Amino acid sequence: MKNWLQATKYTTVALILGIILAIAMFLALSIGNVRLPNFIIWETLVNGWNSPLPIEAPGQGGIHDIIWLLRLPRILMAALVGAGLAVSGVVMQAIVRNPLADPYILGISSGASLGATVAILFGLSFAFGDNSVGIMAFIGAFAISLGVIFIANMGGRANSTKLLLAGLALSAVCSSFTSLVVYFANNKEAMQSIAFWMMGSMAGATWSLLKVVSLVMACSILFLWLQSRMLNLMLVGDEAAITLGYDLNKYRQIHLLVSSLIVGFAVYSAGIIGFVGLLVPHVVRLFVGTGHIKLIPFSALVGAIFLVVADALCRVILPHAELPIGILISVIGAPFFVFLMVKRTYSFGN
Amino acid sequence: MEISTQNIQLSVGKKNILRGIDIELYSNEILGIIGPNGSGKSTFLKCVYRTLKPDAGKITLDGKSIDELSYRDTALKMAVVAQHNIYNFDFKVIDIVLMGRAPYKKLLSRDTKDDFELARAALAKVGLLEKAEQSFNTLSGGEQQRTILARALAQDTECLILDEPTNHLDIRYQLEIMELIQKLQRTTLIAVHDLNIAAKFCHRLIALRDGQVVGQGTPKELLTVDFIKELYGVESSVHYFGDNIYPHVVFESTL
Repeated sequence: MKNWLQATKYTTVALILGIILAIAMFLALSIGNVRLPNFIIWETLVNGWNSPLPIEAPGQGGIHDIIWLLRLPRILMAALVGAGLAVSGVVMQAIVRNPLADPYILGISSGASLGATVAILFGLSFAFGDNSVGIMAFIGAFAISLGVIFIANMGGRANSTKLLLAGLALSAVCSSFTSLVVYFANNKEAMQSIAFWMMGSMAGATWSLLKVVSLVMACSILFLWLQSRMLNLMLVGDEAAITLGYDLNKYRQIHLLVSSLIVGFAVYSAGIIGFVGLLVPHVVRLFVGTGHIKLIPFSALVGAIFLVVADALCRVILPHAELPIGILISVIGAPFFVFLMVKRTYSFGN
Repeated sequence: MEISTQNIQLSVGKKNILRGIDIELYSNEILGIIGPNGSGKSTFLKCVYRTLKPDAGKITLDGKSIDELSYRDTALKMAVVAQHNIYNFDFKVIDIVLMGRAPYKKLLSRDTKDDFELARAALAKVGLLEKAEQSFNTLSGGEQQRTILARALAQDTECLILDEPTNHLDIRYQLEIMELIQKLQRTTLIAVHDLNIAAKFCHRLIALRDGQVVGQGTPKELLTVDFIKELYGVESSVHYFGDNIYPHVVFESTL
């Protein structure tokens, strides 16, 4: 009876968070360089939904374009990337058994940066088309994950410490290569666009990209959710897990790959956005505890809300300009993190 | 259930930690492993419960080599209370105990009402039911140890393997835990530091030194003044009180 009540309680909270997300997304549609009243947004949404024309078809009016082509895609992208990064953070913290881990801990961001830098400086758009930066970043991120798994398995079984150290080493190598490329290229314009890319932005969201990203995020998050029991066992360690019948080594590598898939696509569509994957899991643990069966869905919801709000703020804080989302999140995130640290009741999982 | 090991050897680097250990653990007996620090007690137990793989030798459960069994198979047969259970992340006590049900779970199955009841019953047995919803890391060392024992009980296996389960416990809980283990009447392999606890609760004892078996027998047979001197290098006297068939060891001095 008590458990049933508890389950209902959590379902209710999840529903409320879902409603908050929907409201945040709707409000985010109204703000920006042009403020739109709510009833017009609603009308445009309904008309667009019922219209037989494809979304991209020209001549449907300025407001239609602002909502359906500019704002809605980036808001949806923010929600997907936020959910993905938060879940990936939860999983990475379990994989390396360290509460300080974030989605980029195993060098994924350095790999992505190297890929992006190479793409920008060498102008690889002839090979990969318009989104060469994203594609190269994705390749870099994923290659690093494979490299980390490969190195951690050399000379005996991989464990969380070896993964962490392999990540650190590869990350250092990638960073120095990035610096090397930048140093020799001596191209100011390109360097600026690298810097801008690294701060993250949702501005590149399109419907065709959204289709892919939503599929990847939904499948990966669902898969990781189904792995809750293994993730719990990871936190109590390999030895205890073996005595409970599970060899975590293979699960850990699968989780790492799925998690890098999430991060790779997040980087591909929005650049590197820090702090979400570190902050959200800790905030959610405060309320639902360490068990992954609750932690994963709640982190996804909170991560989505967080990035939708942050992206909306980015569009309005500066008049007629957009603040890179990475800057905003660090500015909000860091003080909040310190607040959590100082607050006695929560000690980062310890 | 019976466990037997033949010629278990393990070395780390150039150091031979285990140098051929043979034991037989019979159904429903409590077999104690004694020996000084560094004699290989924990390492040997780890080989049995499979977190270390011996370089040579064979371990069988009911006649079947453990190499032919999956981790799940062995987890359904033996539950383990290891030393040093320190977690970086905080779980609720009940969640830790529920993990004992993990070997029974298929990929998608959730914890059922029965699992909760078994977990709560296990907590009740170790006297921690009222702390079920507390966080594990706020418990005292002894309570944490009892939580892990509750997890092993929730695992509901024929065999228990315990590595110094009475460490960190005050005398009352030492006795309570050992009485509980006695009452369970499972096949039990247990590493013990305290010779008096070993003498009182174990049916048989095996003494290890430098990774070898240097003696075995009932507490009465094994725990003699001479043997204790040889094993630990301490002077002692051994007494029998009343009708007790087990000895009491009083330590006097180092050699």
